[in-house]
Amino acid sequence: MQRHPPASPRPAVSDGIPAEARRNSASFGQSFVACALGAVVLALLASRGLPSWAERLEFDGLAEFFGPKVAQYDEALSRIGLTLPYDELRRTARWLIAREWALDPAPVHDERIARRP
Amino acid sequence: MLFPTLGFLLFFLVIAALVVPLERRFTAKKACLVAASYFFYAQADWRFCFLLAFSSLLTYGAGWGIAAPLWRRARRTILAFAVALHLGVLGFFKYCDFFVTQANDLAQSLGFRHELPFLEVILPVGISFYTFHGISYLVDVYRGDAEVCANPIDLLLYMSFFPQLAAGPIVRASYFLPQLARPSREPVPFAAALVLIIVGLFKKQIVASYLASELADPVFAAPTSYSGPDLLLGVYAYAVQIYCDFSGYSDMAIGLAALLGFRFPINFNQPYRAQRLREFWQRWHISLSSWLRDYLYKPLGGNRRGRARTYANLMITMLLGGLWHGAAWKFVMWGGLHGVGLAVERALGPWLSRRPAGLLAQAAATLAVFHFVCLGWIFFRAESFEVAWLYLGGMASGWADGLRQAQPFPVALTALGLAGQFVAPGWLPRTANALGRLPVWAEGALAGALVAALDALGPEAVAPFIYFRF
Repeated sequence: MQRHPPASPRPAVSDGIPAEARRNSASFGQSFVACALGAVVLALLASRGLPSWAERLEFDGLAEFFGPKVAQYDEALSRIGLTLPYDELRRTARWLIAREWALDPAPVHDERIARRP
Repeated sequence: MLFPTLGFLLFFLVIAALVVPLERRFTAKKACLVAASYFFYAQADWRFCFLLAFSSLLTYGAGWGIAAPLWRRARRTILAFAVALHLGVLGFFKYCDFFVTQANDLAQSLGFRHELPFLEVILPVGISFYTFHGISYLVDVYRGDAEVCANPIDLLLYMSFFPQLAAGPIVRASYFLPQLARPSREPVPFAAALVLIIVGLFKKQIVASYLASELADPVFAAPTSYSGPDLLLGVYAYAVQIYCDFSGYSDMAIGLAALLGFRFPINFNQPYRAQRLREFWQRWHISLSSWLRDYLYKPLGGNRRGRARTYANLMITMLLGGLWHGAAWKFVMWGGLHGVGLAVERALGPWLSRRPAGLLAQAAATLAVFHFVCLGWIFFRAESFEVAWLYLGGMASGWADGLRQAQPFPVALTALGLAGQFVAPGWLPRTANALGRLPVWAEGALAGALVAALDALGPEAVAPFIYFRF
């Protein structure tokens, strides 16, 4: 009777976070507090995105509950100017997307031209 | 529940708040994480929680059978039965309608009129991943690479841990279970975890999302409507999109697991800088390619039974690897293409055994591998074989038409994604150590500001991760 076959060499698996990147560490408590603080900063700076985030909440009923409150919150932050960086970045992204090559604008494929906004 | 959503952020904060006080009560922490993982999974479809529980209990029970003091043949029978059951469940949910289609086509070509009905089975999210987890555990216990799991909570957590549940990385039992045996005394690598989460979010939210909407999706939807250069840049864009989508998810999973006190293995390592196709597979979806190597290619005989058998084993492994990605012939074609490429590379071994000398030769080798991989992506991404052929045909024509869909923004993102492949190794420790000079609270606040910036720069809605389908 053979209970255990000889162990084969274990596969060498590298950690996703190498040892050199583990030097700067924190306790669980510290990291939770820092995550919560990050969430507060996110809530302050990304209030513009919160309504669409709230719409996408998968939990039943939460989207309806949070939707109007989030819109009011965004309005309040907008009045004190905290939404300006967000709006500016969004405008920059739209400007970047709208860039086109400065080439002969003659259409080659009608279907493709029709597709572009 | 996707990572880059408010729902997930709230979920994660609640879990972190629950887990922190349980730091010294390890069993309670693991039980809490199991409950959280099942809650996470239930957001996709609560009925599949039963399937996940069944798969976990099957693995747990069979593990004890395999480790019992029985004859080798009895243990092997238990292993074979449990693996077959795992694969049977996977096959039913993933391939049932595919085989019905094939059977109906065959019956029609033979002149039969009766058609088998389609079952229209919904594919449970992550089934391919937790099935492979289960098989990994059973084989590792059989081989003696992993101890049998005494505590069922450990096994439930190994199978369901939410950061990797939906799309990996595929974590080996021999790698993860020892982390559950006793509480880790290591502190949380907070700075590195934040860097990975932010980088992963950038890859997914900005690079992958915009490349999909601005270039890859339109050209793959109607390849006959675009010029040759558009189609060529479209496939480059898709190569970057799928890399950023999947490696972004993996980065976030590694970072989230680290915040909860667990280690995950590396899953991507700048794959498009590979100079050999074999090297590409050592850098791309490492947890799957090493799984296929250790649990399929080597048990088939690997390269130990002669040249012809080695090529056959490579083909079988890659064809099944292709089929693992989805129930469609295009995935089989993709796997077969890589199988042929690996076999040819091996056949040319004496000429290719040394790394290319000189920068020019190395660049040529990298370009050759990248374009071969892109050829595979065309079959992988196209809706069908016909579309893939149209795409390839379109790339060979219409070069006088110039660029139309491939506008500066998606082209710049593609270039950025490819340039990222050549960032010097060690970027993560360098960045984490630079961030780590800040106090921990400032790191958290900075991360919050960066996530807000990414939300502003990204599209309004984020598409699900590509690998959720697999």
